[in-house]
Amino acid sequence: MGDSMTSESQSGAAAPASDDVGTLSRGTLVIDTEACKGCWLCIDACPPRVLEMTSQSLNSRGYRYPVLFPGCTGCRACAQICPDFVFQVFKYETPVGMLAEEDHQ
Amino acid sequence: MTEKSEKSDSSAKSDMPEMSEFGDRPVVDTSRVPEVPVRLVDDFTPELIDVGAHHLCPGCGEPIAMRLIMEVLAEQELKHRALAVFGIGCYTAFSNNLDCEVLQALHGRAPSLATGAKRANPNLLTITVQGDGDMVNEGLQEVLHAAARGEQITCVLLNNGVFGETGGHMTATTTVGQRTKNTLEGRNTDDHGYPIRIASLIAELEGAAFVARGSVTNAGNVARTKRMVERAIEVQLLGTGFSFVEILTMCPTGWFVETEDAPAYLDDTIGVANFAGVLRDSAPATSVE
Repeated sequence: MGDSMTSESQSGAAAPASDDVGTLSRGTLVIDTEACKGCWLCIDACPPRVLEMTSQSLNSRGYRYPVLFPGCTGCRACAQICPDFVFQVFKYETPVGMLAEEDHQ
Repeated sequence: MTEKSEKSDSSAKSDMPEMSEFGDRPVVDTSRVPEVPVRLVDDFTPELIDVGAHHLCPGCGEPIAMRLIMEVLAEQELKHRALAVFGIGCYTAFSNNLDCEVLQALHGRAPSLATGAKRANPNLLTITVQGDGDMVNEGLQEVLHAAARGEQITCVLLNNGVFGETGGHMTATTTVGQRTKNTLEGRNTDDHGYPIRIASLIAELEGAAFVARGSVTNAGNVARTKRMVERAIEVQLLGTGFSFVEILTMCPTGWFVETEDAPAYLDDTIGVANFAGVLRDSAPATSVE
């Protein structure tokens, strides 16, 4: 537990601050935060480690829920491991950066 | 689930991850489908699970196992031939969520019920889903005799080493040293005897054509277990004998461990005594297709 916490914080610190387009994402998620029961299985399952649990925000049932950072590969690991069917996984046709997607909208 | 999410929509919007919690790190908006061209690769629930919401505990491994079984049925388009026979356990709550015929058995008697259904209608694809308390404690003879007779059914065992539904006490598959609600110092062989490794036991029987053991502790193991279930169903369609898949699942509530530590705990306790892999496969290698 202690080890996983430190590795998470390290990977979090290593995530580059957004430059031109930020970290490219090959996939993205829709997260049904209201269905989440905050079990953390997706956090450890995510190979690029771009999911993180909220520490203050809670859903209406009082559970913490995962938040996605740029860098998702659309590998479906989170959806396969989630006991509460919280994730919908999409793959971009071309990888997008954070700011590029915002511009598009 | 849809009703719930609609009702709570207003509160959900105000709960959107605010930037303050993660500093100035950019957070991806995951509240809706992106507008740029995307391809859906995994929906919330597979095709045969109607309702994703359930009342099982956080971090439970049984919905993960249920998902992969239903994904196999959906992918092989076996929905209209499939009959699931459920035992008694937490997973029984799923019988209302599935878009698939479900027969409810008495405690431990699912293989016998499946035998009757399969013999009456040989075109059925019968799958039993049982827990370790249901299969190994309550109905050990049912599954052993079904395997020895070589019934053309597939039995799936969701093994977490405890009676999860009634409070997390010891079952016959609880490994030596494992802490449960009535073995607080860990299961010891002087008082409680030795565990039954049911998959290894069934693998010795000549009526069993396919016996495998998998787990759902990480995404890789889920994929491997899914291939085992695929093969078990293929063996049943080939009609060469009994097929059996044991799936090791997490029960953080019954084990008194944190949900995020449960996969590692499973690998360190039940996973050590019950190695994963195919234990027996005597069916021909030809594909049904």
